[in-house]
Amino acid sequence: MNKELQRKAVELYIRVKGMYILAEETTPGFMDFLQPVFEINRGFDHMSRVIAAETGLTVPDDPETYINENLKKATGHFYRAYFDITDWLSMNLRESVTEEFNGFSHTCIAEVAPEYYSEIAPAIEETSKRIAEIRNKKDVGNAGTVILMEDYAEVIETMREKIINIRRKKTGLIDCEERLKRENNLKVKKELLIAIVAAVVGALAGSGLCFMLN
Amino acid sequence: MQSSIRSVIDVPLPTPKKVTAKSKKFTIKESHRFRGSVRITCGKFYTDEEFESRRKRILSTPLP
Repeated sequence: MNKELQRKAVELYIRVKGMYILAEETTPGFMDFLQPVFEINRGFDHMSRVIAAETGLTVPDDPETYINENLKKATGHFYRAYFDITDWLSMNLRESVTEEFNGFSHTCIAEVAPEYYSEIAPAIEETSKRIAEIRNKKDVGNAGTVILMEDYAEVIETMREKIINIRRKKTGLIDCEERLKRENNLKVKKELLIAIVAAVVGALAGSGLCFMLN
Repeated sequence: MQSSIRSVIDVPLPTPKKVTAKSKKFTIKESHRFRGSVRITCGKFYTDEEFESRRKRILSTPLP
């Protein structure tokens, strides 16, 4: 039981660390968010109690219960950190999407990155909404939330990969916008030409009619 | 020895306080006493209020 809980706590910490690095890297202006650090710190405090009991540095009255309790508390803190980081990371991704697509038309986005409207945008909306719900409930540690958070981590990771792919398509988006602009100019010119021709034909027909009547 | 260790190790850490603009200012001012993260010493971190207002701004911006 101890080893299993210990393994779970450490595995969770590794995921927390990975997500934290990712969140730091994706935050504009090299900004940091300290709340997860506080949670990690408290988690480590409980882990140090476990190590102290296991190495004989401290002798609790009921070592097994003491160790298990502290491992559970450490895991709870790591989950809270994990939740904070996921929330932070989802904000970064959402902001980066808004910035990446700023100034591009729906037509070009749909043409160059069709997966954006079918997969990425709904996933971002859904993730932001669900994270906000969990955040309001504040029951980060329960089993249901834990499963959800793991799902979100996967969603976020997938989203991140897709956003990176979209960034690669930016040249395509620029080309598409220029092509649309050219096509639009051509359309305007054509319409203008048709209007001029119609006016000339109309004028000629009018003068021809006048000539015939005279 | 045992009791003195237990009296330290089993005491919960102080509850983290809110990260405010004041604490950020203080961190930058006292950065010479800190050998940790460069971001923190430079004040490159969100206060709780900044984080919340950023989250509200991002969530209220519609996706393209």
